[in-house]
Amino acid sequence: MSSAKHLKTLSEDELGDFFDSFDLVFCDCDGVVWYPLRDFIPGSAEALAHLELLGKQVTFVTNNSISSVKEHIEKFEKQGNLKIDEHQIVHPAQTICDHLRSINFQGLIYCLATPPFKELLVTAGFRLTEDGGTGIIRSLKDLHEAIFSGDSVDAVIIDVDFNLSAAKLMRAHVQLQNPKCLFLAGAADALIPFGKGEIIGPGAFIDVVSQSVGRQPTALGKPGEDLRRLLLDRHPEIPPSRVLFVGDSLASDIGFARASGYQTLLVLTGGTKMEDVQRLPADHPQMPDYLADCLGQIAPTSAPNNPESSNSDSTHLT
Amino acid sequence: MAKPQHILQLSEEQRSSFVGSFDRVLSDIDGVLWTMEHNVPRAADGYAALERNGKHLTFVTNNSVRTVDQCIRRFAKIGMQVQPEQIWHPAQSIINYLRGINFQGLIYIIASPPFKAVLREAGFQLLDGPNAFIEDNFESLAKNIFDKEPVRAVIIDVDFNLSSPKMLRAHLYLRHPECLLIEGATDRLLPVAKGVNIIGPGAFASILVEASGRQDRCITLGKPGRELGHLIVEHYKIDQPSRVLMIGDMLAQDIGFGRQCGFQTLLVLSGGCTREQLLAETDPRHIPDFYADSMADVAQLLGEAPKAHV
Repeated sequence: MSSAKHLKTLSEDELGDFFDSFDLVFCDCDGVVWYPLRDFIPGSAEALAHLELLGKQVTFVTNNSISSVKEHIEKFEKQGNLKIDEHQIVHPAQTICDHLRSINFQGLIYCLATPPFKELLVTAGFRLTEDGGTGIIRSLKDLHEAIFSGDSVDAVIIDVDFNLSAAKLMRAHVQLQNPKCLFLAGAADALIPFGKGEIIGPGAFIDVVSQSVGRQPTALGKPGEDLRRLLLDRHPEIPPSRVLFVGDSLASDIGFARASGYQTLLVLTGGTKMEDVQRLPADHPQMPDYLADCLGQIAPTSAPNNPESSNSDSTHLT
Repeated sequence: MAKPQHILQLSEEQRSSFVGSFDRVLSDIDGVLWTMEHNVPRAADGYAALERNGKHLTFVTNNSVRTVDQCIRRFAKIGMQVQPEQIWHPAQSIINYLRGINFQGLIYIIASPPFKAVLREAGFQLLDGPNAFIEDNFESLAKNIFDKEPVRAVIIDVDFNLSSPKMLRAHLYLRHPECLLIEGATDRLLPVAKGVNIIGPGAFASILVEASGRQDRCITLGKPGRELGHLIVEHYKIDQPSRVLMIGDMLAQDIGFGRQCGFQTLLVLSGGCTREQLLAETDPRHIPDFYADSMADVAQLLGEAPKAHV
């Protein structure tokens, strides 16, 4: 594969071959099904219904733990008129919770994440340590207290934390110097699309801790290795080449999926622009197999032109 | 690759050649004169001996968290008279650098209050914050990080209250091609007690460097920054770098800095580097010419050295 094929440029036959080439779809949500934190992208509900009609299994793989699985399901139902099952949604708080259950984890957790993420863990019966250090640090003594005075913990979890601070990361780093303390990471994007550009994502902060402590986390959000293996293990009966991964991020979706041997479809409704794809050399590990202006283009008849894509006249990439 | 030599294991002849081989000493402070826990015994004697031998002393620290006044008082407590102009620290070096390029713009800064005070006193216009915790949602994040002010330099040094909103905001200013990225202290790990390290400012600065793709364009005015080296060489009109001795306790910051500038280097084992770490170091850029247990060895060396060079 040396180029990304735009779905629009496929002939009727090629499109048929494309749909015959996969049984399972892994699909990102923010920037693909809906605009981040906002409404459904026009056409995506029809596209998902079309995939179902064709008998494809669809599983949503999101890095967004700010909304719960239940909220995801409600949004699919309300805005897309789609009935999505709990097991069809893979999201970091849930995968981490499942992982902790599977190893029968009983210890205390230092969790750097959003309130909904923490709530999920607490509801599942896990114990979280006090956040501590919510005050302003005025002296070395305050800093020392913020880093060293809390309970010692058995696991550190890092995902999106709007108030992540140096002191929290330093406390995490100190705890992780104990080799028995588990290190878990959720969403690990280096950059996340936000507004008209990208902002620094949790991956950058996870890397700082991981480099400082000299070990890698069990990474259960995209583009984490452990999530990658978990997804492969969910469907041992389906060969990776018969899986289509749909996403809007070159690093967190396309590169992640290609490492598993999945086919990949990049949609331009999120963080990636056509120029970003055109900049990639043909053999780049983040080069998608297929491109579409929006998910709606997967539904052959009623594909609307994506209202927010400026690249709707773009064609074949080489 | 030459192995570093312990200064007390030099032959008589080597000693006098070493002592005569430099006129100027640049020295680190933390880990050399004192640590978080105690003063290094007889360190002051080492510097007194250097001065007695006619060496010019300058202190180059990465620590801008304390003020120069506090630093001078601490020197006085161990019996050393040090003038403010003998102390180089990142806040001052950044001022010198910005004046050198006649910088007039607005600055967004992630640093300690004393660091910011030094820049404000020098007349620079600073933005900072958010200095309080934000609400846990994307709307609040957006309000706190998107800003249309014409920031033309982002400065990052040690900030005990560094937060992700500050980092995200800094990164957004750096989307402007003319916005400079300036870092002070570079340490990735800071030793705070024996065997205890905390994440240092360099780790956070590197997030900005990588996220903004400025691997080649970050201006570093703490050790081992190239731009700091230029400032010092220019300021003291150093035309023979090999006649400068850099003394410090950190392989990457002090020895790396000294070697990059073409100075001779002396590592002291009284701070952030153990003998084992020194012997295990394989990067030639971080291997010193000489090492010593502490500045007390310098006192001993000079106490016994013949004064042939005078």
